[in-house]
Amino acid sequence: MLNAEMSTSIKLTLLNTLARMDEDYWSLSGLGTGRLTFKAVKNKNVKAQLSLDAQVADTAIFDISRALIKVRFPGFRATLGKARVSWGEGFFYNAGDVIFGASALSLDMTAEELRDDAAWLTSVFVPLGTYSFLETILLAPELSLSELTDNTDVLPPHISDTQAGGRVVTRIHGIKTEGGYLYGGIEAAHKPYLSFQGHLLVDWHLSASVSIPTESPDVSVLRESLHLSWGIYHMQDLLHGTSLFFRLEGLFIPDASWSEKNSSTEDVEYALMLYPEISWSVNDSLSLILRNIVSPVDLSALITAGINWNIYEGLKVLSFMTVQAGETTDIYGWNKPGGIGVTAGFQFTY
Amino acid sequence: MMKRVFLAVIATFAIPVSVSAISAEDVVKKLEKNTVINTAWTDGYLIIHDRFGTKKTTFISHSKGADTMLIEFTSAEEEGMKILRTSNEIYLYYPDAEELIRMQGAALKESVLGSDMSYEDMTGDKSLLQSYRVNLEGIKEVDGAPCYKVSLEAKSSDVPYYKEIMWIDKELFMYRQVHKFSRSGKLLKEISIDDIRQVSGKNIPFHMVLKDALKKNSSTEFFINDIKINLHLDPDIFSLEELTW
Repeated sequence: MLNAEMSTSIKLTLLNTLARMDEDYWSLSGLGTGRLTFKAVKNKNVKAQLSLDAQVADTAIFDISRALIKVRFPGFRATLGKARVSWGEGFFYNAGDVIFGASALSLDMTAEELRDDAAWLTSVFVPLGTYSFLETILLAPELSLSELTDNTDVLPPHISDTQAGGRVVTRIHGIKTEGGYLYGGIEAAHKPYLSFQGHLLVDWHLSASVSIPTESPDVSVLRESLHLSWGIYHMQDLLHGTSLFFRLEGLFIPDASWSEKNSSTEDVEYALMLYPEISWSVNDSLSLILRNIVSPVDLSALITAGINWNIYEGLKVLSFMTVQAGETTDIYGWNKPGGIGVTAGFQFTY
Repeated sequence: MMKRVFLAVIATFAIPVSVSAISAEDVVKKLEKNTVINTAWTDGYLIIHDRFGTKKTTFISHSKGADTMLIEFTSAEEEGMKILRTSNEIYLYYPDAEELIRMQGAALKESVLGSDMSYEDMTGDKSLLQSYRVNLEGIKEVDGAPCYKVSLEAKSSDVPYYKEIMWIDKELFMYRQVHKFSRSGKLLKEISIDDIRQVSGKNIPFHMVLKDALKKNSSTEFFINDIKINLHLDPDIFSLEELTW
């Protein structure tokens, strides 16, 4: 009876990767990733999900990517557990994402979703009409069970490490408008943000955020911490039912560096980064994709070109080639490990 | 003898008389009266055919009137993905990414899950008579059923298709076939319906085939397993809250 109220799905991705690690060394390796998801689906007022991720090679590394319960009460709903939360606007760059950061953390440029991060959270969602809602969030630091069990001197996280905030999403004159705030406990900073999304000839989005230290805040910090992200998206129908999709996103940090630095010896943050993407939908099952991360300041780029072929129900054939264009001191460099790589394999969802 | 001649004359004029007895506007009004349902809950599936084979996608939808609908996909690959269509907005929700996307502009031309249907096909809040000039072009048989052939031409540019031709069943006032054209007269979409059943006094298409004429070897079949109409639906079901639940 319980089983009838649960849905199970598995996404299995099996890839072989050929990569150049340095001038004389090429690597060829196989890696599988799997996500097993159990969802409670039949209860009208309670939903639960447990997703187990595994990376499989000679041994396996397991992770719990989702473990959450959602409960709907009259007038609001609550979510508790390790869940995905998506604030702001943006496929790759999103200054409104004050929780996970303005740049997508995923290094897998072949993934369908470049933002898939989850956090331990407690959230309350209050609908404010058809197109509006208020969401509050409490992000308690996750316990490091391994450290706690291995070392009795280790203490659980301090309350001051907690993050908390809220956002309001509404529609103003046809523009999706989102404003929110997060108190970042570990950084001891206030993080307000604004995001807008609309359509004017092309789909567009714009987000801005700042990070203001709780101690001795100064007006100058507004400029220093300002992150702006923007994006445009357009689809162009071509002949014979094929389509071209264009996406261009940018992250602008005015106070970051405008001059080239040596990224091999220091952490580098440049004032402008771009994410151009072009995909050609040859038909409903075959797409050719070109995704890039471009650093205009040091003139380097991570270029990923590939094929996504949904050949049978649930099955995709994936094939991607990644090239780092640039010098060794740039963010991306031809001579860096993985300067060129080819990945091919299957993904099956069942 | 005179009686036979009289009957023959009557019979000769019968079809033109019956065409002129009803106007194109009346046919479209009767069609919309039949096809617009106050509320409905539907359990169905799509079968998408292309040159590589077929793909089945199951769904459950709630709808209200002509322009409000919430669809939730239930098959493994798309499970939990939802589409909310209201009078002037379309939103998508991807549960794994917890991502809420408003479909606008060119994005509306994207295919729904690789089918022959685009998001644009789900838009349109006005009645056909508000959006199109209509003309009755006679009676033609489609799959053995006499149908009114009605042509529609857009009054303005805010509709996805400039011209449509509908073959509307004379008895059931339900489409048997629809062709949709661009302004240049190019055929863009073809719809055919071959399984119409009566549910609570409404004629409901239980099987429909949609073809995007620009795609080779591609078609999408829509099947209804079960439908309940004129049931009570909480108005809040058509909101971002329900979409993201």
